[in-house]
Amino acid sequence: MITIRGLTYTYPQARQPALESIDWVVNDGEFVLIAGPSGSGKSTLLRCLNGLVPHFSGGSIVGEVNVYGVDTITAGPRMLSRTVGFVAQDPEAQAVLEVVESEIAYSLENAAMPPSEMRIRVEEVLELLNLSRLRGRRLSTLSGGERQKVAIAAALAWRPRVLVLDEPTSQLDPQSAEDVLRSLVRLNEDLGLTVVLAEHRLERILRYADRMTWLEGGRIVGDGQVRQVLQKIDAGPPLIKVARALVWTPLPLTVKEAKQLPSVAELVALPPAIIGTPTRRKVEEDILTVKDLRFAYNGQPTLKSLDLTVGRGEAVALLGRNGAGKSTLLKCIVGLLKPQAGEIHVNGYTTQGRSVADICLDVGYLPQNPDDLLFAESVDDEFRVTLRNHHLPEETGKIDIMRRQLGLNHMGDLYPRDLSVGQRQRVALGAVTITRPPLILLDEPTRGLDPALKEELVAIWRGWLDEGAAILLVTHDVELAAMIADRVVMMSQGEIIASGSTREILGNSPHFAPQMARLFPGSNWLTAADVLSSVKISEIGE
Amino acid sequence: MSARIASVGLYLLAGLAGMFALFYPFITRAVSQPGTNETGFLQVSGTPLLATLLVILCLAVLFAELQGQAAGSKTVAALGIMVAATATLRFIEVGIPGPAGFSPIFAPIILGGYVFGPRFGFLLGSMTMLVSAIITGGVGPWLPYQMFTAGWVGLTAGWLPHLKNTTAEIALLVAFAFIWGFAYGAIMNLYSWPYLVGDPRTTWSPESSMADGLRSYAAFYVTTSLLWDSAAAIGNVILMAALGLPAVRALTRFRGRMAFQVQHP
Amino acid sequence: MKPVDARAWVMWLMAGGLLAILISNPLYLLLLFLISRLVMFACAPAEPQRFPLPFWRIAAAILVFSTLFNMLTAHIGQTVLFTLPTSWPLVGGSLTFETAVYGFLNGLRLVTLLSFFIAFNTIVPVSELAGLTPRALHELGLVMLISITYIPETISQFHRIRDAQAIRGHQLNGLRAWRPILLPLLISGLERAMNLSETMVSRGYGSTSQIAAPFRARVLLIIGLTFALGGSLRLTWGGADGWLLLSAGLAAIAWAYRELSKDVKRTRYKPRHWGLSETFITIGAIIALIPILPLDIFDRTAFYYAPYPEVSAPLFGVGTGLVMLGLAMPAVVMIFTPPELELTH
Repeated sequence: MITIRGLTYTYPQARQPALESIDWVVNDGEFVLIAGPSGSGKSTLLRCLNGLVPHFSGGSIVGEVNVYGVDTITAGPRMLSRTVGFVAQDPEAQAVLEVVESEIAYSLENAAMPPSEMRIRVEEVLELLNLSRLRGRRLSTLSGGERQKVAIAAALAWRPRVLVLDEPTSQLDPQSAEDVLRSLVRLNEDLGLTVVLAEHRLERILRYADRMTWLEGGRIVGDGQVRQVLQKIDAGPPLIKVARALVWTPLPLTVKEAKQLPSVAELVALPPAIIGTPTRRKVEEDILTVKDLRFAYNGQPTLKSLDLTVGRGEAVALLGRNGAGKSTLLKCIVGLLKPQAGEIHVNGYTTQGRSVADICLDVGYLPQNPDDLLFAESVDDEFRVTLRNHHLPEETGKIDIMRRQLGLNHMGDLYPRDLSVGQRQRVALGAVTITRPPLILLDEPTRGLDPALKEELVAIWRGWLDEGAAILLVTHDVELAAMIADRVVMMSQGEIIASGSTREILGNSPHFAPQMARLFPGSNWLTAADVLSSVKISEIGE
Repeated sequence: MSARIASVGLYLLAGLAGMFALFYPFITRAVSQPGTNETGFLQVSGTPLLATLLVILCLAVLFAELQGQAAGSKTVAALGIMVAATATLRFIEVGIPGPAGFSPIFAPIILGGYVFGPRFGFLLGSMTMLVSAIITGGVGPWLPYQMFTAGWVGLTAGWLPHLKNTTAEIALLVAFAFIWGFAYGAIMNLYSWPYLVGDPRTTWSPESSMADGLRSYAAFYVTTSLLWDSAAAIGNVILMAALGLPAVRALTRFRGRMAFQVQHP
Repeated sequence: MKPVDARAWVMWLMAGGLLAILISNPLYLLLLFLISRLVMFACAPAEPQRFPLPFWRIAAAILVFSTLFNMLTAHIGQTVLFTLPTSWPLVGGSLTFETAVYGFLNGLRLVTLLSFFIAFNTIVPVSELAGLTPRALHELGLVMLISITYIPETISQFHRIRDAQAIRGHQLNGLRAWRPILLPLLISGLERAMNLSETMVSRGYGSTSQIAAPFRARVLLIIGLTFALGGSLRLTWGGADGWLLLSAGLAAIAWAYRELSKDVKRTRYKPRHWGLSETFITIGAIIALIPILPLDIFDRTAFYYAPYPEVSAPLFGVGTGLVMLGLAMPAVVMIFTPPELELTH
């Protein structure tokens, strides 16, 4: 059992406490989901459970944290490592050793466990997480999801009573995330292991959680049964938003549950909604044309005769599994990779024979990891570096406008690396678009961001689309595609397998359908907003 | 107190032994006599064996002393990853033009030592050499010397004063990088010279002396490395000038995160 | 197949390296060189090395340089080939055939030494090498393991950062161009290090406080190094008893390491395996070293060869040559270990 009483904690040099007056209990065998917006104190709360806070992070702490009879504030993480297994966010920063097996055995070696017993333990967790076939592999050859499972296995080697995970899937693609979450559910159900999980991919985990704790601003705002907590708060996946707005009871946690509700059946019976394709964007001219593009990596064709266009003011989402060639296509467009054949025109000019820098005057490309871009001393400097690289005047006016558009108004002098994830993402976005390129390429731009931050970004992009920019978006997030894209292009094994309007493609694909399309197949509804506006219109009509 | 004296004693001794090992080729030239010791025991004094052994012992002693001082998960992890980053720079194909003979690893070693202190600097320098040698299959008789010398680059950087004036600070770092650009090359030559030049006794003559050795060394240095070392020093200067201040600021931010106090009000 | 314990290879390398340094007789050197190449080809793993050194090019460069340098700077010997004006500094004087031969042989010695190291690098896998860290230096061993683990990631991160900077118009023109690449690499690396150390702590890695080496170990280290330095000085000035002092120093340092390793309580998931192969390789290495011992079985004068004052035929002791073949033991062991048998371990 975990008991927290009157816990208030402040990071060193912070003015505000990260956690304030927390009283919280976790029972044996529970699966607890901790959710809340970025910066609400989720990670801090989790780190109190194994003594990382305050022993690792410093700062000042008041209150009591008791985990299975151990006072974590006095005991510290080393003592707790046998009771609490801890898994962090970034799979790449959790490996100490090179090979799967030895990585799992690492904590046991530290405690001088006899080799014979160690072998049993390692075997056991390999089996538990289905990792046996990867045992001899180097970690650097594994996928993110596999690495995260190795991290979980390593955390379980001590047979802990509690497993604590801090957004373990935020850096993973949906398939891997699903795989990791499923293993957690299995551990909880089969072994009765207590699981405390912070997560923002709520839609996949809600049905498994026994309890949900909602944090905001370092305080517990809701705590209890998942349905009760969801009623109290404002956030959630589209299904929950619609269900709350239309007062469906009991609150459905899955599409399956929702389909059994009578009120949903009524809506399904309605004739397909007539939602006109958005008219505000007019495709006047093509900003990007890709013709018969071919690219092979080490003799292995990754792009096979690809054709694609993106028009002014148009947003196109590129969907597909990992390894379909989406990122390769983006890199070919900006010239980082040289295609074997084919033509690429950006803004009317061919990209052939031009340097990356030259092409990128017309293309703003946001890479997957925004931290790869950031190195300057301040946010404004970050923008200036790009202008200087392109030999453009460093006008303060331009920078001011960019900052305002990105919602970074008073942050011009701050050190970019000290900002939050969402803010860093926006600084990186600004750094590649300060030249006001007509074409913007986004590679997984919302990975690791919570829904609120995602919406902020979508709002920014909508503004740019209205100004006439063209956006090509690579994403795994179908809800994001449903929100912003005019057209969807689906890729598989280096080829385009489907292309058409967002409604046409996403509405009819079982795998890539957003939640609303799965709940109301053939209805033309994709987002919560679609459903709510149609329902309200039809109510008025009656 | 006695622990501190022991610690200082160890550094001094290791420095002394290292100096002796490095200047050993000159010393043997100065003191050796023709015809002695030929049949008695092993003829070692003309070979680099003794010097290599001494350098290895110095490393062994310094490592034993330093690792206890630098323990702690944050230091270990920071060292491990900085070593990985610096070692990678040593063998990655970079596509960034620079003079031949220039290696970008010294700037990070100097900066690491300057910000995180002499112990960290020594370990960063020597472990970088070790790890890159292991990864690239470059383990050779030169490795102890490289480790020892690169360790001293980091160690001495940790002794530099931290100046308030940023212009003075960067000037100091740049000058330091320049000097080590030459010094590192010169020291590594001290190692390879006896191998290539061989036993001094075979060329012994009555007027053979330390000065003779110096002259031969000078010839060796000019023919093998002067050009390279100049390039290294100039490269260090440019890189340090470009990188120095922002890197110092970035690393200093982490120094704060690595040391902290827990408060129980 | 299970690799041979790296400690056996270290013994082999030390024996081979020692002989290559001590011997100047070209016939023996050639024998040693051939043995090292043989062992390398017999025992090299199937997968090629990640960064192979251009061995023959290096060897040729060493031989040419060594020959020319000695010829130009040493002016002794009787067979004069050329004469340079004596007014030229250093190189002026007679250039002799003997100095060229001496330089070449000296280069051969270095090439032989290098060949042993290259064989060692090729044969022993990185993971085994990393496992060689003495127990007392466990923390530094961990630093090494972490950096080896993170090198592939650092390389891909390096490429990612380079691409990311190129996208915003960064051009790789000169050394200043390092800044936007090195800075994010360093900062992201340190950020990652903070996360990594958090993981290590959560998995029960040591304490976060600083522990200095125990006082006794430090005193032993001081004594050891003092003795070793004293011994070396004594040896340099011709005192054979310097060896005793040097050995005492070594022993003291070894003792200190023993003291230090007492505090390290760890076990190995896969304990090292010292089997017959390892024993044979070690015995072979030790046998090869017998001739340099101060015993009167072998003629040690044949080890030394100098082409002065005139080039003469080097001696060759058949017995000594045979004993040196002990270094070829790894190749023999390799022939007699069928891979199938090893798999059953």
